[in-house]
Amino acid sequence: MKAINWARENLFNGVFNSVLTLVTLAFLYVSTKGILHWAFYEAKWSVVPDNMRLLMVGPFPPEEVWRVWAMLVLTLLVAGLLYGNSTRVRPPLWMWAGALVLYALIWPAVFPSTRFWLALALLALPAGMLLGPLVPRRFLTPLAAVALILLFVLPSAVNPNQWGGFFLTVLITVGVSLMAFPFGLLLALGRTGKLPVFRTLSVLYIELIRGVPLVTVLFLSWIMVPLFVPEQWRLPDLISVSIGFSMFAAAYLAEYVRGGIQGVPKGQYEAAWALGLSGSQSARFIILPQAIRSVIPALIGQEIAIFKDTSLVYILGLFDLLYMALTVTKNPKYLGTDREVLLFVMFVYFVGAALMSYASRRLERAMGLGTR
Amino acid sequence: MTEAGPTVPFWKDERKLGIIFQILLLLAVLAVLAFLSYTAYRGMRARGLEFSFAFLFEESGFLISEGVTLANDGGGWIFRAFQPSDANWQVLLAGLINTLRVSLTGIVLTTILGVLVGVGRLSSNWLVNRLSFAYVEFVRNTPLLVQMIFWYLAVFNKMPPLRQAGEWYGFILSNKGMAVPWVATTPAWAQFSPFFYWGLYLWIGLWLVRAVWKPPRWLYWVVPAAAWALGLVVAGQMPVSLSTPVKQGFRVRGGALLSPEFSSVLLALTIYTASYIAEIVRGAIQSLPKGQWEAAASLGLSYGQTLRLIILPQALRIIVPPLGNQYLNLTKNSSLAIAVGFPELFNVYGTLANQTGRSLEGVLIVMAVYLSISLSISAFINWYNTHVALVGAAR
Amino acid sequence: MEPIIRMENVNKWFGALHVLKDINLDVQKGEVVVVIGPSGSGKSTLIRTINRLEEIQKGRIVVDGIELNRDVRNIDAVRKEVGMVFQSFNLFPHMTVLENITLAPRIVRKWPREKAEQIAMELLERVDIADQAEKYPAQLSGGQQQRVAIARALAMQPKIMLFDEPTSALDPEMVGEVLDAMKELARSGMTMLVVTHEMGFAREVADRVIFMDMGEIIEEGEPDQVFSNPQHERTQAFLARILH
Repeated sequence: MKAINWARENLFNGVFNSVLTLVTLAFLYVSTKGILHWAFYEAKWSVVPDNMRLLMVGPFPPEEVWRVWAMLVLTLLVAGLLYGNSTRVRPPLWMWAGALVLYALIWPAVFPSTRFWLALALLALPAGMLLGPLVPRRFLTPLAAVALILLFVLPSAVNPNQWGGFFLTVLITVGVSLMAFPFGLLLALGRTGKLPVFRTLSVLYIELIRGVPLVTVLFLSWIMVPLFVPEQWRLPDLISVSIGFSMFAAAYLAEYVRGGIQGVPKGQYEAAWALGLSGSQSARFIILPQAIRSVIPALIGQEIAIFKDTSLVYILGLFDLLYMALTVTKNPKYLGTDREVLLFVMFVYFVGAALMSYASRRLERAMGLGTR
Repeated sequence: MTEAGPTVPFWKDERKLGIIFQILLLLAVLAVLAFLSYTAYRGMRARGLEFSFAFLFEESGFLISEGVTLANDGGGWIFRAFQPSDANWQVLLAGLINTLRVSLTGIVLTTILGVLVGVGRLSSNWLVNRLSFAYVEFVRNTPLLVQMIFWYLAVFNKMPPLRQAGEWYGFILSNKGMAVPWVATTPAWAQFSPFFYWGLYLWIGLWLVRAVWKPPRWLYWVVPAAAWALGLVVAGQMPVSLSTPVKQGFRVRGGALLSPEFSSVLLALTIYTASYIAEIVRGAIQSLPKGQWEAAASLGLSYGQTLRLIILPQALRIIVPPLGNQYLNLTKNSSLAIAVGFPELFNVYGTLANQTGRSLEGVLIVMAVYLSISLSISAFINWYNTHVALVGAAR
Repeated sequence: MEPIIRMENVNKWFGALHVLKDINLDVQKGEVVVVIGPSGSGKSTLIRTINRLEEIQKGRIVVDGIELNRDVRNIDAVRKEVGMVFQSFNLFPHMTVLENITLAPRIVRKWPREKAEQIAMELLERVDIADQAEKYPAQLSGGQQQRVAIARALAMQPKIMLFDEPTSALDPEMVGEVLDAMKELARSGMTMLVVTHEMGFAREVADRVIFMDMGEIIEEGEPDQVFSNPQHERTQAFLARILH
């Protein structure tokens, strides 16, 4: 009875809506019938677990894969520690339960030797949150610094040309964001500042970069670095492409931050100056914190864009997730599995991007306080 | 303007510090540029290359899978299919035409789809609402490049051969691509075409004389309509007809056959961009204050009148600038077609760079072309913002 | 005695608009000067030149022996000596009340956190809102915010306080609490320049009242004299408008 009432109110209220519902249902039936049949009866999904290591880490030497696991565990543990320490939130039950469920779901897909690491990774976040409040505040910065150094040291034992798969995708995302952020801030400050040369240069740079496609910038840095950089300073492709990518991302980032800076009222500058703060001090303590806070949703949107755009390095022949996926389909054993593999790639990107936008919404709500 | 008080040492003078910083910045930027140009010059010299655009006028010697270019057939400049004997600038032009072809088609289709989905997101119909939401969420959270490759490898490459291809209402989907109905001219076109063009010229003429003499509004409709009506009378039958594709052995007759590459790029760009347009449309309609509906209702306007006279004009003013940005993105994103082998500008550049080794000159040309497309679209958005959006925008 | 603020032939233009015309003004240490005048008369601009939120084009300003010119050292020095309270409070919305007050002492005066916080709490006590220290500005009423702003300016231990229409943005019932804090400050011997429309405050606290119009000082004197017996007809017209 309830269901019928619900349907009447939400699907069949009025002639137009009823027709619309029926047409949509027909469309759904026609379009999903074949797809569902394929997904359940024809698709060879085994190609994904069979090639999981290739998809995740690419040509990374199998005996060194523990390094990637260690990086994952370390990141999650430190994230949990910092979060637990600052919020004093104890890990909720669903986090433990989720770890258990995920372990049960994933363990058949991984080698016995890596199940240990899988368990560690799943437990790292809640464990970090649990331990967080126990760590004295003054140890946090050195702790994070040590973790950061370890994150650099761990993969460096393996030649960057052997980094690949989803691991490389994440690495490029993080690296590009870290490099683009300071540069983008500088451009934003230049564009909003009152120094005419600085402003003109920033505007020229931003508009020039935003006017061309990312792939041309990546190509420029990829093909041209051998021309520009003297032979003895030659960098791996990964580095030169990441630099080009960061220079591109910085221009977009600068525009978001500029929006934030322009939203800070003039009175805030005046109050800072009247208190005796210098120009750089007011930028650092007063203007930028407010500007960035107000554009965090946009910045996370930009982060998602960077994450998705890392797929473009496939065109340059870097072994990212997409490249590895297409390599798998060229294996004679798995010929014709393009659909399965590409759908998996989309799924991975979707989960990553959806997690980020979920975090963005949480953050926005948590920051309601103190944002005027 | 007098300097107040005793003289100030320059390194403590606020204004001079600013100037010094800027001079240093400018010098640093120039130094970096000089360093890059010098090393590039040295690098090219070491390879026996010289920075030059002369290669543009050499014969290209390679084939692209589809593309029309400007060529001199002896009698004059005409548009025709690109041939390997054409020059390198002609192959780049063919690439640019392909870029514009896929972008413009995509812009039209994505606008329609985006508006439909955006309105769907606001629909009171639960099914339509959720479906639009799922569409937007899924499409926006996966990379365009993966979607494009999916369309190419996982959809069009897996289509059955033409013999077994399915037909839907005049559409034929096969591994040869997508055959769609298209307009074709009939023999009567020859008599009709002068009237067609004259109607068009007169219409443009009316727009051009606007600065001197402002014609009444109805004239814009009546003049071309009259010219075309006269043409129809003279021709005696319809000058154009709808041509539906038909399978004939290994070929398709009639309609227009879109290659799998073109179709993949077009579909990917259309579907991806539409998800962004949908959010713009939804945001614009939602951002209008409820008071606008209430005020209109209190004046006695009907729902349709309110929508047409009050809501849409306001929503449009908010929509157009970000919509222009999406068109720009779509055009720039068409460069990803290199991954599926559709010969648009960037893909053609890739082949050209391989053939001639002119990667630096080539990428500069390509970037300049994209930049000019971007700047023209931005110029339009700015023009719209100053001339249309701000008129009467009191909020 | 050498005045703590000396303005000589100060002139300022906004483009073609001449907003300050040959201003000459000396303020003695401990003096409370109230500036009144119609809106657009240049009175806000006048006090904003004293901590160089506005640059002047002609004339000179000397604050506590420091020549106010383009020398960044002098500008910094003057801004440390001069506190300012704004019409729209201008508290930093991303910081708590306590952080708002301790920020400048910690990074400009380089005080350790403990010292800065201790002084901040004393000041909050003085303006009567010590219990709000951990709140964010958005959680306070307008009157409370303005009192925090006064405490924030005082935390730098300035020799001079500037008030730019401190009660104009407040709801009427909150004006009193802010004026009380200002009166207390005046009694403690602080040098104050106040732009305000509160004639009662001027009458009660001011040592001197200055009437400005069209960028000029038209008339100045003790409050009783200016209010009861204005000499200039523009002053008479203004007072007639504002007192009835």
